[in-house]
Amino acid sequence: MLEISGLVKRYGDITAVDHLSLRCHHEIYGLIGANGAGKSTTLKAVAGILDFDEGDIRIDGLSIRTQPLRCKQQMAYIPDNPDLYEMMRGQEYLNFVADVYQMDTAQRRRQIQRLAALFEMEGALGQRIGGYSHGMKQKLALISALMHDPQLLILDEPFVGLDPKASFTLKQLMRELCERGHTIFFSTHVLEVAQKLCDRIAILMKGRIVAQGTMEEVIGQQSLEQVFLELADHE
Amino acid sequence: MSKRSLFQTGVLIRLSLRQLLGQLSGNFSRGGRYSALLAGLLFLMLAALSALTSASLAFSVPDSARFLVVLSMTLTAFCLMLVFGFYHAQGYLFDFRDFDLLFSMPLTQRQILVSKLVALLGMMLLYSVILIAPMTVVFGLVYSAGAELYLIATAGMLMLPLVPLVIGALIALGIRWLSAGRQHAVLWRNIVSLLMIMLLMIGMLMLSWTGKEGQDLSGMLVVTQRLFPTVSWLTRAMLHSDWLALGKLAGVSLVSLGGFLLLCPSLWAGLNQRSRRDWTQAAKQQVAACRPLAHALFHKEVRRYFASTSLVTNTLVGPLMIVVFGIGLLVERRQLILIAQMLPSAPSSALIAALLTLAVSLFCITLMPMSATTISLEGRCFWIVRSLPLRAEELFRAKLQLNFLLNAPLAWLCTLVLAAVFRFPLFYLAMSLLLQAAAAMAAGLWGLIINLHFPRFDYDREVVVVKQSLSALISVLVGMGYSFLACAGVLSGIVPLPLALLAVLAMTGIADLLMMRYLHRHGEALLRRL
Repeated sequence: MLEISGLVKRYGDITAVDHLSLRCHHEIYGLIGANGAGKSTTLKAVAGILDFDEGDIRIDGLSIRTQPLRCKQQMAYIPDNPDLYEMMRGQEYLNFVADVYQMDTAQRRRQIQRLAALFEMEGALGQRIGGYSHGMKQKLALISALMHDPQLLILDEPFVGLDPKASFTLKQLMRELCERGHTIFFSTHVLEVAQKLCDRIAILMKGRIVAQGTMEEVIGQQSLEQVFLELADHE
Repeated sequence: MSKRSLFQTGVLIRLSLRQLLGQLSGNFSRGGRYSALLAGLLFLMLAALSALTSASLAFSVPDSARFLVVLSMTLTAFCLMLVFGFYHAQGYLFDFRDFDLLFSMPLTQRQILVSKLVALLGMMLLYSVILIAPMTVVFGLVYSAGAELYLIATAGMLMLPLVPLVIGALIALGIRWLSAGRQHAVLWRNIVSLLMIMLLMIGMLMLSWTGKEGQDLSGMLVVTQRLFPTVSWLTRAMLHSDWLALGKLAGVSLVSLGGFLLLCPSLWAGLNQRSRRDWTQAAKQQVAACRPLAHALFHKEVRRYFASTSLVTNTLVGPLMIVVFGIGLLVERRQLILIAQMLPSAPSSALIAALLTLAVSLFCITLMPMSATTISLEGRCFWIVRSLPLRAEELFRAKLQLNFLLNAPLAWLCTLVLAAVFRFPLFYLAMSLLLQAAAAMAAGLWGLIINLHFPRFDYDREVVVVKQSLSALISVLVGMGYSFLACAGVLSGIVPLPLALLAVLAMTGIADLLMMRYLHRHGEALLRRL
């Protein structure tokens, strides 16, 4: 589903992502790293938001560079700090996103009702986004991302700001989507979440992958936290 | 005031000034190495222009009317500060992103208010210095004035912005007070702000009529003394080394600022916190039927546009000016007929009205296209459209449509009403309507292209993008240049009038096509580069 090969992204003299390559297919793939390791940059490049200097990113065999629309049609992205159109009401925003994906009325009604109920947002959709808390914005962004049933879900620190129940719901949804053949590519620095949720992980340090594979392959008998700290010391 | 609170106020003021300087220099080369140098160069260029204006004035008026040099520049500075004070005060007092942080700190409301007012004052001092300092030097050199002039001028430059600052802040408070807590607070704010702009325009119109009624220079002085006493005191102080007049200016300025700081902090803090909370009740929202993509994007643009008071007040000024001009022309119909009779070629008043309408509407349409700020204003939400499966062209089309609809229909309406009243020749009416459409399109396209090249995402309030960003500045200058060149081309008399109009229309149309082609070919790449 997602194939990144030799990705390089530079900001002036600083190399934020350094020849990063990975593949993920019908699984939950976690990108782990310290602040400034290049996680968000990688996710933004995958989502087609950020241009990159070298390498290629393919989604279902299509390059995000040459066929961005077809790639984006199959995926959804949520940033770590979801700034949404504050002048709109929640429902209005969802309608806007649904219009862009050209979802028919019945499908959007069904999806919005289901997801709003899951995240306990039914009562808030009539309010202006400007009045939402961070968690509510995060939930609305999640609903908008999941609404059109994307094949690839790209999430940047998705659990930040969510209440425990919403966090649990999201984990369940991620697992459910994965079982239905979808791919989830997300970043986190909450190692417990990564250890419990991910099928495969990559540990990113200074823009380079220092370890990747299934959870067993990466951590063996240790905890993810121990492995991560050892790698960080080594770097 | 304790030592601690003085220190805190100092820290806050330093922070505000750093924010101001950062924003000013950040307009150039995106805060890069040469940004301060470029900002300095622009400042010097403006100061040189100001000096040139003062010099041409000093050499064109007789010795007995030398006061005109000082009066005109101080009056211009005061009016500019009044208008820009009104524009900026809303942003400085209410829209900064750091208010939550500041209110959470052990600081008094007055300290926070002072720090924001100092930044606003810094902004206004720039206008004051750019207009008054070069004039003082020119005046001093031409009329061999002594050191006293420079001393008084320096003190005057520092004092003159205080009254416009307080007026601007009071208007901003009034607007927030009227709109806070209402269901459609932003709409209210936009309406009241637009009404204020209309009032300012009408005020300036009335001022020019009063000036005309004065007939002579002494009449003009009386008008200035009555309406702008601080300007009149500074003029008097500079001309006659009148320290008492300077004292009056300083006294009134400091008392008005002191009064504001004494009486208004709690009202300001209350309004500030109220206006940043969302008071709208949850409304019943329906799942909408699927709309075409173009419709959805256009709807989003409309919502975005009308949610920003600074954007509405700045970009609707042009269309509003067309309406004010239309009303003015209808009121002053007889004057126009008299002017037509006085001209050597004795053109019909209909022709003069048609050409005037065209000139004014071209100027207003191209003055400040909203498209020059539209990419920057996507701001922190830019990730949404960039992560959605949208073509750049679809996004651009929605932005250009809105820009066109904000400008062309009002210009057309005004032209059609004036055409009916003055009986414009049919050819000129058709040319006016076509040129207005082509110019609205050109301004929109140019603004968008410039904004794609010079976006500004690191702003802490929208007015920075709308009024101070490089793309807005370039668009305004090019818009003014275009309307000036178009009018000069039409009225130059080198080619017959109808032919000149056709040529301007053809050139504008070609520019439209070229810019459309540019966006079509490079738009996607430009968007991806951001």
